[in-house]
Amino acid sequence: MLEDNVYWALEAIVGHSNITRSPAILESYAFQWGFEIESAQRGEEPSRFGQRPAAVVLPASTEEVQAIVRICNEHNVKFKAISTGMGAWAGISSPRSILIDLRRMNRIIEINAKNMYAVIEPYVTNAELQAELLKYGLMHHAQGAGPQTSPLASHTSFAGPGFTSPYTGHSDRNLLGAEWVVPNGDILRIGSFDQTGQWFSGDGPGFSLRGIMRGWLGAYGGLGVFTKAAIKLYSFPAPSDWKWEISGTIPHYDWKVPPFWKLYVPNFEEWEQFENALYELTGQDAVMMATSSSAEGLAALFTDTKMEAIEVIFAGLLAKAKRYFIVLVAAHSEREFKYRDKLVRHIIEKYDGEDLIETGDISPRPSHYAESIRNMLGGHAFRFSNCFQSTHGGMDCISLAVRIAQENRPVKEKYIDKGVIGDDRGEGIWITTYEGNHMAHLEVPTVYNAADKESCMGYAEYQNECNRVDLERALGMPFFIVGDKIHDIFGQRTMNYPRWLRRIKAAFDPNGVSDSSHYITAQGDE
Amino acid sequence: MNSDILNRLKEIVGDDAFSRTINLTFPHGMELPSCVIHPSSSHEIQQIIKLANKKSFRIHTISSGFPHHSSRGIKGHEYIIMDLSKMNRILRIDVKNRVAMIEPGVTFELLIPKLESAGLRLLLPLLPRAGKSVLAAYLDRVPITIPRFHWDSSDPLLCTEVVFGSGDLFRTGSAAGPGSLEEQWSSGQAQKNPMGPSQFDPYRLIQGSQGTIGIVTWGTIKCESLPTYHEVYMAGSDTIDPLIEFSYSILRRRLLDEHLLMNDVYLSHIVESNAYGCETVRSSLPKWILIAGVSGTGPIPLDEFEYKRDETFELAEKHGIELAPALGKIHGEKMKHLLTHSSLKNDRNSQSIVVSKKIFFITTLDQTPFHVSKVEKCASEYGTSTDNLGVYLQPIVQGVNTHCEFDIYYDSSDQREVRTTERFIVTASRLLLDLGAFFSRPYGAISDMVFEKASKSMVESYYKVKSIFDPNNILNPGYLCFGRGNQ
Amino acid sequence: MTLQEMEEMMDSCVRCSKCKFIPQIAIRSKRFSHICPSIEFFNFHAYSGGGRMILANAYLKGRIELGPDALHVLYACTNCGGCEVSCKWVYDLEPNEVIHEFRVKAVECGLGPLPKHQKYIELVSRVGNPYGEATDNRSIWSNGLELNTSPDSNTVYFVGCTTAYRRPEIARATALVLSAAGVNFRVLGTDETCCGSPVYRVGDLDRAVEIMKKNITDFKKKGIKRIITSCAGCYNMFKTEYPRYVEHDLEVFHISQVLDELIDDGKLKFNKDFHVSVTYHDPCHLGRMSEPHKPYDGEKIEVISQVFIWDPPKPVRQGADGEYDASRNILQKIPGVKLVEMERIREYAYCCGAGGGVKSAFPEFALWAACERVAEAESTGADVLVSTCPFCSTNLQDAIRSRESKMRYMDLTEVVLNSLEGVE
Repeated sequence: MLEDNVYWALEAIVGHSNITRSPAILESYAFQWGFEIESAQRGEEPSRFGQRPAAVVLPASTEEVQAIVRICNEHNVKFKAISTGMGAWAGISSPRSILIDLRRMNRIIEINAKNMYAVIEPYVTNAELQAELLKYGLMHHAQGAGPQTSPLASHTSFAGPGFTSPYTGHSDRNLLGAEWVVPNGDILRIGSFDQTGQWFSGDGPGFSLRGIMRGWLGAYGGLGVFTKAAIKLYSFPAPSDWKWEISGTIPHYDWKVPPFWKLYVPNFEEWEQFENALYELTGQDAVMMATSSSAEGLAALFTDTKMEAIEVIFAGLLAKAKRYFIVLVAAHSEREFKYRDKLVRHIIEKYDGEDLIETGDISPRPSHYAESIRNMLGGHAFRFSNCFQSTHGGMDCISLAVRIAQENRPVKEKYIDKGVIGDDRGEGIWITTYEGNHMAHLEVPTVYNAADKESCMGYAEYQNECNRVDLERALGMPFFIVGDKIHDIFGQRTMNYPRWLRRIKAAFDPNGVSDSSHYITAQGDE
Repeated sequence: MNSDILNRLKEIVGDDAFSRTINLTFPHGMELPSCVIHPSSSHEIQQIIKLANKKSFRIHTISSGFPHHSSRGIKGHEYIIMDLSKMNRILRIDVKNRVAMIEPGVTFELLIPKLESAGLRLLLPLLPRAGKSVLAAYLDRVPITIPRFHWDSSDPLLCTEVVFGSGDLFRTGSAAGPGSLEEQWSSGQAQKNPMGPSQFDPYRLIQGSQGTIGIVTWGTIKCESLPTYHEVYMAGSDTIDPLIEFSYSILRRRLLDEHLLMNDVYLSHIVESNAYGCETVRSSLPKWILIAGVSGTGPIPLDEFEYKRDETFELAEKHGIELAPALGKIHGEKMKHLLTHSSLKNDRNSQSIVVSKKIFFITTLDQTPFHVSKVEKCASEYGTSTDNLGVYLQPIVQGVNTHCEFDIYYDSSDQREVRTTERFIVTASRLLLDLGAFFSRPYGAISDMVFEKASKSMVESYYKVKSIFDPNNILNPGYLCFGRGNQ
Repeated sequence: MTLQEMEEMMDSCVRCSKCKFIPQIAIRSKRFSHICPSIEFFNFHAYSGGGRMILANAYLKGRIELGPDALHVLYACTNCGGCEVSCKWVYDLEPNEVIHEFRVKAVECGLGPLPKHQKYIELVSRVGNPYGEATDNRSIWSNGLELNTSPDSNTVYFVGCTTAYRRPEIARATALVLSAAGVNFRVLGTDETCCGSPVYRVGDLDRAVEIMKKNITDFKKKGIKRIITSCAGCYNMFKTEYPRYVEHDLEVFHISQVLDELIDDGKLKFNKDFHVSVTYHDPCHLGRMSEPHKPYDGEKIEVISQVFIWDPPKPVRQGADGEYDASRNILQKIPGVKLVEMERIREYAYCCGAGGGVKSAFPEFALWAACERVAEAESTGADVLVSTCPFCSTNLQDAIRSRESKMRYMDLTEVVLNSLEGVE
């Protein structure tokens, strides 16, 4: 679909070996987790194969990205940039589109240990960054998508909850600045860098251009390309001589747990106790992790294989785990640990709960501590069927999260009864708090079978119904409310926000070349 | 301004809220407005802005007077003052979610006790004016004194309701919906999530915009639990470096509540109001002072307080820092009072002759000694004694960066001193800008310098944003890079 | 499994990219976080384990043809199995198996393997080795050695083509050490022919199985019951791949396993200190790829809605049961030797870059991968890089020369030999 002169112009920018229009290679960019749901939602046959890009380019620098974007503007070619590139939003939506694969831009530009920020390029992964930060006794906020995904992508472009969110917050709020090739090819270096050459602040002078770049959800790659991000860092609670050490063999690795770390699973009979306990505990900014799921989820999190998880479920966890949350206390010192340990125990006792680890109902291994801090636990949810996706996502406070959980259950049960999604008795949820407990969100991880048409269709229908429930019952904005059609539906009960998004799109992408499939077009669906 | 417009404005807000008598202190050189109106609702504000768009007049919004540093003013255009001070309702205090919803006329002196009686505390800037609008302060990203609660530079501002310059009403963050506020409350929400809605963060465009994007009609403010135990300690040093090193080690840990550094001049001026008192206090102090608050809240507050206190003292000792309940003539209890209350002394009605002008910007804590030395050198070149140079360093965003503030005290009755100080401010600001200071909240002349330095693409982006939300440049023209004329 | 039978599995890939990295929990630095040399070198997603699954899936669904670009992607892979180890941490997917099966399919269609591969396959058919060397030269390595071999022994030291023709020092060291330990063994000399590895790896399954059958028949005829080999590739073939296609009851040992046991039994005693710091490279074919394919007969049942398990439980070939400890045990027992580990070891060791037909068809890529591995070895501060595979040896030594590295390469058998006084 690309004229030769356009292709050659792109080739001149990145070099012969960093561009392709070979169908075989392009095909690997046409396949995405989530395409099967989006195609089902469009009423098509569910398939992970989607639109094949016209070319893929592998730039190595911001200047190359800028030159590519300018060519796209010049020749009316759409583009989307990806970093680690997992999920439907990493695909392109029209044939005359190129994909900008940023995997060659993979440097950690700076770790400013004193001032606790790092500057990274798109293809630095969470695990890589964490491994390097640990050498300075630091860590960053890693999104739940996993250790192999890009923190730049999350901080600049995507909703960013993570397992350590009580301690490290949300990716939107951790961004200190970004280098951004906007859709018309201009480069913005927002915040202090533009003025000082240093990345310590992302806001100003005056208002913050962070305001147009991402929002809570992120622009999902629909508004240009981010080539650098400066992000906040946090203290990693371990002694200075502690090192990340792994022993053993897959799947049962062993890890040297830092001193003063402990996992708890406070379990309560009723939502009310759960809610009060979660408020009271996380309000103290004393925990690294505070997250909730179902019995099935708990089994998946603290086991190493699918079979082991299933055995644990049927060994009694199903009956035992009611309303629980997992708490990781990770303290810097014995004194700090003693306080936090006492706090957790106090709250369990106050609300008539019990710690499922203490009762022996679940037994996290040292490796699960490692997986907690490396944001690997979310990946365990894939073990049941190689696939899951989340519905809902409303983010405000703990009370809202609990309400969504309650409202979701009967909805989910319907689809479980149909046999199209995994049976977690409607209990499968994921709640995490942020910044102590100043915010919380709930999503509903749901297992389905990507290779089964009925299951894909069923999940898609379930997600649509969840969206409707959220909209009608004012349960917050779900995660995947992107693209013109659904934006317009939600806009009707959400201050008609698409009109502003469209104006931003029109102002910053006058030629409409930055793929809008998971963002918005300036013109709308007319 | 034509009488039809004035009559229409009077019609919108009512006779009592309309005045052609200008009873405000105006920044030097600012032309007088056609009228001052006191709207009482977002609906009225919408109507007024729509009228301004239609009839091409400008609106300068205030909620508790003009900022000290103010704009270059509106010239060549008819304008009105929209004074929001009468929109002063505390709409909601949600203790469980630690959040307050307030209108722009709510002042610090009004809100602090109300929150306290509900068991909450406001995350305060250092000695805000008692009559200062809480929302106006936070919309300007004024630094708060507790860095551990300052997760993002936008804190503690959360959601807002805003009327954009286009006249459209909007709610930002989770307050946008889906659903009305009542529906949201009924589903357990508390307008706590400032992000969004959806794929943009309008609150970040409103905040820091100096009123150029929209007029905020209410906002939710993140609060914290009132501590059961709370002590303030101080440490001194003749050089700033040890205090900075200690600060870095403790900022990582999020142990402290209040955490700020200042020089003797600054501290003496905030605790004493007259020259003699200042000098007496100052002479009892070392050159540099670190102020550290420790608190205990929640279900086992004493445990929290004691562990944090002990950890803090242990860390201090490791760094050779001696923390104590008092320093010189200042007791921690007095500091605690200052840190938890608004200031009457700094109120606009103060009759003090010794006043100050400020230079403030953001940098990192380790760069502050460099900036201090340069400003001191510059001051000496202007014949300004360092005895009149207050320095306040406020770590923000959990220690990632620092608000660095220089207060230059001078005798306002001495015109020569006034002029020298003004010249010094401009020179020092230019110098600091060249040396890497980030003037993230630029006003007046600094604003011009900052936007001259900004890249072309950045300035163009600012204009694009402005054209989206205030397409006719109705709101606060003259602020930021948005010049006095039509843009 | 045929490619068709793998379709459901391929549809299940979530394109998460875990296959590009070592297991995430094991990452200790950014520099050495990757597992797949191919994606690192070629960069396009197609060149990863997951990317190749998509390619195979697209081919199966008729979305692409198997043209030159697809073949390039398919063969620019060492088939080292690293992707599969990382993938299986979570998923029930087998990208490495898919890649091999896709190669088989390519050959069946007459499109694969690549010309370089075809050339050496023809040589294997013609002269019994992929190098085109004369059969008579197969025993040159033993010239001048006084070996205490027993022509009637039922234990054979299977030298392998690469060792015999390209790395004779390994053969000599192996034979001398076995002799010194009093092992009763024999060598096949000019009767030895290729194990089939180079043919099998590039997907020419029919010919590979022919070779397997011939070798097994020959071994039986010669009364051989036990094979010892110093080549990780040969070991993998006899131990892991042969049983998938040819029934045999031979005992198969890698030299490291034999020596480890001999040391434990007191039959091999070190009498010379070797003061050196070493780091050990796990050959893929001795490590993760040598884990046996356990025969399985069971069915998939839905245990929870949309959650399927195998009944009875199906063994998961995850790389845990490769041979990792024998070499390390030996090195740690040699007086004076200090073993310093690299970051990527055992089941998540980084491939040397030579296998799967890459060294012949993509020499530049092979050398680049080996340089990466040598860089990692250098980062340990060790003096000597030790491994126990002649193919790794060649490629890693090429990299040492290319990088002008100060490191020295030694085969495990050479290190052992060096610590035995009076054996040479």
